[in-house]
Amino acid sequence: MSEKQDSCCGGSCHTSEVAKTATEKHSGVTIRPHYTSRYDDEAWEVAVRLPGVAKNQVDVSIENEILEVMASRSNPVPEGWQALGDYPTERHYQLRLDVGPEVDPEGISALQEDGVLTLRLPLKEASKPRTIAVS
Amino acid sequence: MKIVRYPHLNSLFSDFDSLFADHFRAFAPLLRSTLGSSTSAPYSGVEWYENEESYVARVELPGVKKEKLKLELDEGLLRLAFERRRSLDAPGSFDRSEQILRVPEDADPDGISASLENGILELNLAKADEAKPVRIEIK
Repeated sequence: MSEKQDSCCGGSCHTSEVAKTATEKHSGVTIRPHYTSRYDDEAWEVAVRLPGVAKNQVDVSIENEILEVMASRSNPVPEGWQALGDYPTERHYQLRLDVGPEVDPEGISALQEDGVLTLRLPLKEASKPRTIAVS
Repeated sequence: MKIVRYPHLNSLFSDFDSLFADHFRAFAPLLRSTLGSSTSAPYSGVEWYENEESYVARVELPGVKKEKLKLELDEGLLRLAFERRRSLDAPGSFDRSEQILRVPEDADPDGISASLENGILELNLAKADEAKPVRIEIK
C-alpha cells in the first residue's frame, strides 16, 4: 500500500469522547467508529477501529455500493465494582461507506484483529490504472 | 421568489461517508495525497471503576499489540507509549503515539497490573493499604 491515506471519525477527530457521535439506540449507544483509508493501484484498504469487539461480533455487508459495518460490544460493570463515570454498558458501532462503482464487491475481504477491522476492497480491472505504450 | 435547489447539500447530512467524493472521483488519488493526514493521534476512551481494594481503568487502544505497548509510571502519571501498524501490506511500518493517565493518589505504585485484549487495555491498580477501608470487628 502507498502512503496515501485519510482518516475520519464520525465528523470530529478531537477526542474519543467528542468523536463518539452517540445517539441512544438499542440498550446502549451507537457510535460511528473512527476509520482510516488508504489505496494503491489494486485496492482500497479501510481500517475501522472497533475496540473491545471480537471477531464474531462484527457484521460486514455491501449493497448498492454502500459498505456497512455493524458491530457491538458489551461493557458490563463487574459485580461489586462502581463505575466512576457514566459509561454505556452496550456499544453499537455502525459505519456506512459509499465505495463507488470502482470496487469489486465479490473480492472484498475482512480481518478483525486487536480491535481493528481491516477491509480490503479490490478495484475492478477496468478501474485500475493502465500503462499506455508509446509507439 | 426563486428557489434554488442545491442537490449536493444533502450529502452534507448523509448518514454514510463517500470513500471518495463523487465530484472528484476521477481525481481522488491527487486529493488523497494532498489531504492525507497522520493517523497517529490517539483514539482511546478511558473508563474508571473502583471497589474497596483497587481501581480498574479500561483504555481503548485498538490496533495495538502487547509487544508494541510500553507502560511507565512516574510521579503519579502513567505513560502509555504504543505503536500501531499502518497497513496489512506494510507489517514493519508503525505509527507511534502515547497517552498519559493520572493515577489515583491512593493507588499503590507497586500494585499495578495490566492486560490487553481486543484493543482494550485493562489496568488494575491496587489501593494503598492506608486507603482501604478498615473493618472493625465487634466483639
